[in-house]
Amino acid sequence: MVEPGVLKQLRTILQSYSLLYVEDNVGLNTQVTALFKKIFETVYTAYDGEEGLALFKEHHPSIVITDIEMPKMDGLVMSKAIMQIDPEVKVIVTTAHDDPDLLHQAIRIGVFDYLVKPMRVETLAKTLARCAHILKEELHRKIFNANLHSIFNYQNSLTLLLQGQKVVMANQPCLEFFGAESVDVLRKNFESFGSMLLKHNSFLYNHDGYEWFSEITGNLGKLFNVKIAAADGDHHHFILRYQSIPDRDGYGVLTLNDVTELGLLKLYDATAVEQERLLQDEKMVYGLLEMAMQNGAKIRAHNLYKGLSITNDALITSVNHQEATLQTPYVQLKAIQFEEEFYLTSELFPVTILCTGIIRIDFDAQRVFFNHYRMVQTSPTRRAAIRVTPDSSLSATLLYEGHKYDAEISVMDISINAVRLLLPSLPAGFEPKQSVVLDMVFDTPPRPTIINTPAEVFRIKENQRSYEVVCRYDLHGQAQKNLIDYIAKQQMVLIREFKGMQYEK
Amino acid sequence: MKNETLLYEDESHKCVMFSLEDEEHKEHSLSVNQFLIIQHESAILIDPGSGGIFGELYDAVARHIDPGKIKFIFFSHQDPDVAGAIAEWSVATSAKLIMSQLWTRFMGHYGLMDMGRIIALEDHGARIKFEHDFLQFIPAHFLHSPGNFSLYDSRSKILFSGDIGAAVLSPQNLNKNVDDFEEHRPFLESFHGRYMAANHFCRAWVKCVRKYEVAMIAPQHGSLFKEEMAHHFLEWFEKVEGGYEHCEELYGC
Repeated sequence: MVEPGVLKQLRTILQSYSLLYVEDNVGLNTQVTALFKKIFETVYTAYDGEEGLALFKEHHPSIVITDIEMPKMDGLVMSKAIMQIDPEVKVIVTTAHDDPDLLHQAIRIGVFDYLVKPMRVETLAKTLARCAHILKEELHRKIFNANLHSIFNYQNSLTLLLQGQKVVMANQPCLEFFGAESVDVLRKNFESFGSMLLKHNSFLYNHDGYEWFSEITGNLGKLFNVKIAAADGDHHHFILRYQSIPDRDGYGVLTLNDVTELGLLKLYDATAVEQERLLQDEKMVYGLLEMAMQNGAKIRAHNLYKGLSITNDALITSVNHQEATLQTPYVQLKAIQFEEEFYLTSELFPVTILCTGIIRIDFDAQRVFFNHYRMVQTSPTRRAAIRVTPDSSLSATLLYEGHKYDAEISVMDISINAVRLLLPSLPAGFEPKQSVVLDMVFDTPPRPTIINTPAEVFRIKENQRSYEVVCRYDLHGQAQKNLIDYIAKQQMVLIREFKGMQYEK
Repeated sequence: MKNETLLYEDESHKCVMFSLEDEEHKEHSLSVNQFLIIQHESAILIDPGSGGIFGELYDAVARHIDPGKIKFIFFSHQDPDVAGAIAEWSVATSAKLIMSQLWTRFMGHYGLMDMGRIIALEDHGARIKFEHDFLQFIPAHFLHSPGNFSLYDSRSKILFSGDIGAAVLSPQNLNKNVDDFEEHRPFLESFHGRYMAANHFCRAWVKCVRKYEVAMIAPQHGSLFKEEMAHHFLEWFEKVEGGYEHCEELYGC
């Protein structure tokens, strides 16, 4: 007698599957079939192996329960034939003899379980429950794989599964782009993939010791610009990304996202004159932002707070003709709020982008909305050395041609190898490349620190009522240490000052 | 005790250990080490220590290579005796600073807001290739810091192990070499038993390290384990019990 609760539970998990039951004992067959019909929606019954095999071929049930010793064809022969047709079917064999030979044969065939008759209902229920669990798992895996397959084939980007440099699989758009009828054909063509990457300024291609595959495997997850000719000869601009597969040595997925429509190719390979013209083109910047967004490219936002460089990772989360949105951490947003502009750089961009026209900043969503952007060829993001605005303890004196410059000098910013001074006027004949002597006094307790050094005038910029003069020097020994110490401390002071601002609205 | 030891040198590659200690550490005989790897015309500085030794270390490095040529500075973890001079080094060089991604957001406290200067290591580590050689950042998380790495140099076969292998007050620290592992062992035990999180992590680290041919283990505190001693150390470290195994004693409630 089977408990109604157990029956109900089995029915819940098994009713959607069909069962084939094969047993030559007519009485037992009738009795057990009646039980199975309370569990399964569909039960097929046969009295020998031949009949059972025929029913299987016709209906393909998910589970087969069979006796072994039967006329015409025994249960093991039938099971073997069934599993050759469908290796995933779950076959449970039953026998009145606890015979090790039969058990071994059953294992070799690959049956799901082996039950000795008379079957105990608890044992059968446990076996069926296990069977249902595995069938469900397999179904989930099939659904997942089928969907993955369709994503793989129907996404726009060209996607290849590689083992080393060898193509294992490629999606349909990939085959179409390269004009290959099959993966086998593509596999052969791909052996020279490096030579398909066309030369283009700052793009990835084989040249001067750079080998494309070493570059991508040495920089996992990095995005590369590449140019490839399609089967019809047209040049396409792709963003290439390579990701290795964890725990599968040598395997990786290569994706090529076609961004040709953004019309950016000429921007990377332009002559100086062309580039000057292209830099004015807001559509080009729009294209760059769009490309960064489409590819989830990690870009960097840069700001300066009194010379202090504040840089964080950022993502373009939307671009349309009204506005663009950048996601970046709170600290960066505070710097953007202070400066009302920011710079964007990326390994994918040929130049730096200066963003202005801040519409609003949403600190909760960590986003800034802006609507003006342009490309710039020089930007503070390229500073090699840390430069800070000094505090009032620093004063400077300039000696030019043996004479002290008398008017008041203020120090605008200072780094380990240069200082920018603000002069109300210039001495006669004062120009770049000339030698001067700089005296810098740091009013540090308990006694002032003095740096006296020869320097060279590097650049002079004329303002309305003053001149900015950049002097370069090469310090050594204690003077160098003193200046490093001052800049590091001043940097800390500025960081504290900037962080203090974060609590202001 | 001399404060500079040449660990490896060939025609294009050199590894140097400096043993500079600030006043505070001298009192506690922590025996702090800093390391410099030079390959051709570029260099990587490892665990450069606190602000107190910045000037001395800068001069020591400059005797081997122009500090401007330091391409990377690697911080195995976030402690002040490892990363305390980040502000000074970021001003003095244009090097990229390599550290666990766990610590990048704390760099403001050390005087750096420019994340563009930082290379954040993901938990599984990373590899920097140069020609036929490479530097491998090996995970050493929770040994003791939760975001911690050791660095393996494939050319010299030296493993710069950070706090792993540190020994406090060992007489063998005087000549910077472990000559007798058994004599050194009690000093290893006192440090590792308290600082390591659990034996599980010790074993995981040894498993990672055994993928590489290690000729020397160079810890941030204490003495060098060369050849046979390095193997003794790995065998011993695999069995080290840490905080997890002694949780009840530690908490006492």
